[in-house]
Amino acid sequence: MKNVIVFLIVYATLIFATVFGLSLLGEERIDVYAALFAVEFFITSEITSPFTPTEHHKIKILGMIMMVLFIGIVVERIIDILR
Amino acid sequence: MSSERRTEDRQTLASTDRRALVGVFLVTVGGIVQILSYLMGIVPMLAFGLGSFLIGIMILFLPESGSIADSVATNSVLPFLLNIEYLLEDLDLDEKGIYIPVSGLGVSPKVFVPLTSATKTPSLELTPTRKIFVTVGKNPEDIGVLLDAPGSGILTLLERSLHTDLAKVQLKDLRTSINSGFKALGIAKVISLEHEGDIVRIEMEFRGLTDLETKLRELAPRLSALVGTPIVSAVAASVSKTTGKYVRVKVEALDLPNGKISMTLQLRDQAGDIAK
Repeated sequence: MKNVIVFLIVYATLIFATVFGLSLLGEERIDVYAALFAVEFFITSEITSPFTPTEHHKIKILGMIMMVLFIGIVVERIIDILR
Repeated sequence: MSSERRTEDRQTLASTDRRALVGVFLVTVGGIVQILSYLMGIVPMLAFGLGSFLIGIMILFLPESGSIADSVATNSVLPFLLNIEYLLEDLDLDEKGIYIPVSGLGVSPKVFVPLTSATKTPSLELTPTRKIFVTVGKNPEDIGVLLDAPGSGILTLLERSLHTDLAKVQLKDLRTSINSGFKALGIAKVISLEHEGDIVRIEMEFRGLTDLETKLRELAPRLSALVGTPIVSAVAASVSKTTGKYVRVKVEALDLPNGKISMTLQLRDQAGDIAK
């Protein structure tokens, strides 16, 4: 099976497992879900690599977006704590 | 733009359409779920919508391409096959190659490319030689190039996966044998195999090595036409082994949109003058 397909399947499984698990724990903050989605993205892309050069380039772009999202959530949380 | 490139684009487009449908579905469902759950204030549902949306976006954004192992294998083998192409070009050889029958598990027929149409048919004893330039008769034109068949590796793998020497298989059973072997290797499927006199017509649906087969036809047209691409060569070598006859690839055509290869092979006994 192509690595990019494995990546999509593993990532989808992790995302839905996270939603299921956190909702069972009664988590009500959307930023917790989003931060975990970003972390899972990096874990999945590492364990399912290598990708072809085109796939690698596009995953890098998605990675940057995820990184910005993750940093945004962390910074917001730090600001909340400092207030 | 060549017709092969256009058909390849069409095939990619059809495959992309299926992915696009799944991607658009997930993005739409994710978007709707996110809006509704936001309005209703249900966070787990909002996260579910966000997850669907993200996966949909990734399906749409990530391209579908061949596996990295296939790509590495193709790019590794291509320069060696191009060297044979340049050799055939340098020697200005235009005659079709002749597969010399052999027997034994994992032993593949060699292919002899004659200098002229008047060149004698090579003898069976020629196969074990490691020489490239060989003489097959007393006349000056009785020389040619003796090569390992480009499909010899595939044929060896096929025989080893079947634990069968194809020289011991009947021609009527060859289709089943090739199908089982090619299925195990994930290469192709034989749709039809017809034998009529000294002609064998084969139609196949290929599943692997698409990149190599198309690239080779573009970059090495002489090798593809005279000797055959790896899949064609493996089939010609199989037929030669099974029938115990000399085989020449008379005609072969690639139908890329339908993923099919059709070929017509000509059989000859040693006494027959195949090159004419």
